[in-house]
Amino acid sequence: MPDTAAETPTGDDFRKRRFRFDLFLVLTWLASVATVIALVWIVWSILQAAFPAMAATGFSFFTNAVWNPNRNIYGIFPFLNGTAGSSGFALLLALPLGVAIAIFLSEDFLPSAIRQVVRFVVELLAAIPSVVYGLWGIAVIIPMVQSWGGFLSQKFGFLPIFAPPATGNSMLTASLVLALMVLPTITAISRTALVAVPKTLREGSYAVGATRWETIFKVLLPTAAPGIVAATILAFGRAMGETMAVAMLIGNSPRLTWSLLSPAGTLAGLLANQFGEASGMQVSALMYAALTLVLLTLLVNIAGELVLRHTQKTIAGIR
Amino acid sequence: MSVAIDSAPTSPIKAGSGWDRFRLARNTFWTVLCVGCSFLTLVPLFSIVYLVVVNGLPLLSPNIFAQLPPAPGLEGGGFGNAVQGTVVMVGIGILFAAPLGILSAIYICEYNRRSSLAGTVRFIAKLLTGVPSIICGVFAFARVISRPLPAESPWPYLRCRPFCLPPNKLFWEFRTRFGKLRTEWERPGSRPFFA
Repeated sequence: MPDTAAETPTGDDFRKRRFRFDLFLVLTWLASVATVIALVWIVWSILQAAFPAMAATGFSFFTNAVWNPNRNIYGIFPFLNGTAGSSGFALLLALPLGVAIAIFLSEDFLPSAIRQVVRFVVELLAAIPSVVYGLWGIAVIIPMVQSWGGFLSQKFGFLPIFAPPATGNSMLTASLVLALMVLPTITAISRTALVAVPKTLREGSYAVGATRWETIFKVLLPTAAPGIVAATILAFGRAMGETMAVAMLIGNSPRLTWSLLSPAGTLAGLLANQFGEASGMQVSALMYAALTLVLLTLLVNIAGELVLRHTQKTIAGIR
Repeated sequence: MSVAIDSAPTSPIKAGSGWDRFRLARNTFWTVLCVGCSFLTLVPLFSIVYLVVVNGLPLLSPNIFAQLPPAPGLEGGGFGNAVQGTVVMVGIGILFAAPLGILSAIYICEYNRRSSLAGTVRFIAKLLTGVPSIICGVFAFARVISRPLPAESPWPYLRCRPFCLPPNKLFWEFRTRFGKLRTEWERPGSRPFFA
């Protein structure tokens, strides 16, 4: 008994060891809390500024297809449509390419040195500023889309997605550039997922006589699928919020259209274009649009992160 | 003893039957397609670099970083103001962000790695990188540039009006409504606390 009593910390030890005032701990704690508060504060401020428009338009803000500040009518349906359309089509283009590069980087088709170069170049794509993509789109992609789009709308104009007014500034242009911009995200996360697949699975597949691509399609990709899904979701979040390049390329038209070849608008582009000259109710309506955008991006990013966490757990379970 | 296999067997199938030859051909097809796609993505990057270099390099000179933009119709000049603006703006931004970021990184790695706050901070930091830049601009507009509290307050809808006030005004709001001290801050005929 005496021994135990000696090892039990006395009140004095307790005060010394546990509750020593640590200024650095307080500082780091404050910084951590500030990070959390920052996000809440951003959403809160936008919500607060959006209130007049929320009270005035209510839910019809999302379903109304007319955005006319002069007549005080605000509806963002065309912009929601443009955001979803351009991001979705960009993903449709970027996903196969991104996964192909991820496979290329995680397999040994070519020597490691060459793969490192490709990996470096794809990561460089993420470092190019958005506005440079916009300039490149104006100089290179718009002329391309004008010539091909003219051809497409002549031959297939009867299809709604190729309806005739084929301008250079269009949903297709924005999607092509967006696809390039989200490619690094998809590649990096998919590659991590593919590399994390346990080697034993691969060896087992080779052992029963599968070729390399049979292994990739039937073993590696299904195992890494949650990671690839997470990559897609996160890339979708990036594409939705992309502002500068899209605002330069998509034409910023508030009209509702099915055509890939005619101008459209996105939420981010709407904000970038109209905030400068807005006043009164228009500011509030723009804040409402910003609130919609931030909540959508947060939702998509949370979903992506959760899927990514789930992936890591699953992979850990296999190993 | 186990030997880790890093690469696919070079010839997994003894190409005998037609089916096996088809499988090998399919394997080669996908390999070529995959490698081709990977190198295809290098094209846009080189196109961007080419565009910037071809159009920008002839104009590159030290003056460009030092002088102001020329008046319309004049030759020469530069964008020194933009360079300076970028450097100063980013510098101030980092001055704010770096201490906060480093301190919270120390907290989540050194102090309470497993605490719920550390997990939350990690998650929120990831979310913050996903917040579009335009949203940060809009936030700054709402907080710094404008004071968009409208004449017709939206708060009666939520019945908690005072919380839209900045802290100093909130303080006086509470003080004048609940405190014993009633000063000239209290507006005559102000709305009741719960609208």
